[in-house]
Amino acid sequence: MRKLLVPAAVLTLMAPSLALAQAAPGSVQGTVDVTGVVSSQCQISVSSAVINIPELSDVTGGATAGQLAPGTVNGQRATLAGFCIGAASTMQAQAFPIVSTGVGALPSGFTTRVDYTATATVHPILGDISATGSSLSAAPGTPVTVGAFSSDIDVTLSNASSNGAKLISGPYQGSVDVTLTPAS
Amino acid sequence: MTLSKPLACLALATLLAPVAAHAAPAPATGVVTINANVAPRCEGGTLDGASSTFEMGILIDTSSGLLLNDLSAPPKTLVGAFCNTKSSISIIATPMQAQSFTGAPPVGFTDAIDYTASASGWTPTAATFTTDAASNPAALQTRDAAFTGDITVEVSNFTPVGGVALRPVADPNYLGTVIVTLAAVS
Repeated sequence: MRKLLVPAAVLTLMAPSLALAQAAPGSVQGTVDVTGVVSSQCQISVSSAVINIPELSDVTGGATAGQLAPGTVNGQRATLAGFCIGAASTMQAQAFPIVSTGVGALPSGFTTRVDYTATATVHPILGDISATGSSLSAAPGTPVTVGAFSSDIDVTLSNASSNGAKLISGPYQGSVDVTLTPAS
Repeated sequence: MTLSKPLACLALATLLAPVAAHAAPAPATGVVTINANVAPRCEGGTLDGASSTFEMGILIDTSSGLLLNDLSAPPKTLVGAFCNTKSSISIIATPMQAQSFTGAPPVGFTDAIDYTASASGWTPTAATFTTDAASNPAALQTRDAAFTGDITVEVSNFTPVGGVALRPVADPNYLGTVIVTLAAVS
């Protein structure tokens, strides 16, 4: 009987609904362990944002006239938000170039592409963690471990370049994907 | 003491169910869209050389007083002109006019010189403008795509206003103007 007292107490703590198993002397008793699992997961609560750049090119004249004005891209920022549960959860940033489509063969000295680096930063209690991705690469940037967090995800642009070519007139569009991958 | 079979099954189910429900947590992705623009734009480039003036020197044959028939001046080059879209180039010129002489020229004389100005290098056919022409349809040329390059501006074919037999009046300064314009075309 003494052996049964300890499991019965545990049973009470873990699953109060089964406390009825403390039966009268002489009856049969069993133990049911109740456990739970919280799977690692990540969610993005604010999953889209837009950066608007009215003019990409240098309109001040001089030697760089018509080329990308890097300052129009560098420092641009947008904010997503999300969380991860799981100590090994990771974040990746993938930058897609800012391009103008529908242009035929490019004249010499011109381009329709602007490359840049995107940096996504989350803000866990222990300090900011950032992941970067460059549009020069077709693959996402290196995943970084963000662990468990719930915060804004700030996306900033930097290192903009068009390799000295002048930009063809027209609308341009690019994007940055930020992916949170849960892991325990 | 033994665990009854129904209880054993319940315990097994309780342990496994939460694991099955969260077997494959999926990544979550957010997207930042970047919308940008490059406005249509043309730049005339920079003049190669310090002066923007065609220095024509002495205009007449000093023995006859008639306009020289071989007047010329080195061309001027606009370096690094560009348009980032379809464009037009146009040229317009005014006759060289005596700046100090006043009144009507005496019979047999003139106080102005006609000429032809051209801008080449931008379009397959140079844009040209002749100051005494009734019309100058070639003065406007278009280019269908963006372009960057040099534009060469030249003057030629000088003739006295009123006819080749007229002599230019004496004047220290005959002045005409050539204007080349690049424009984006929508």
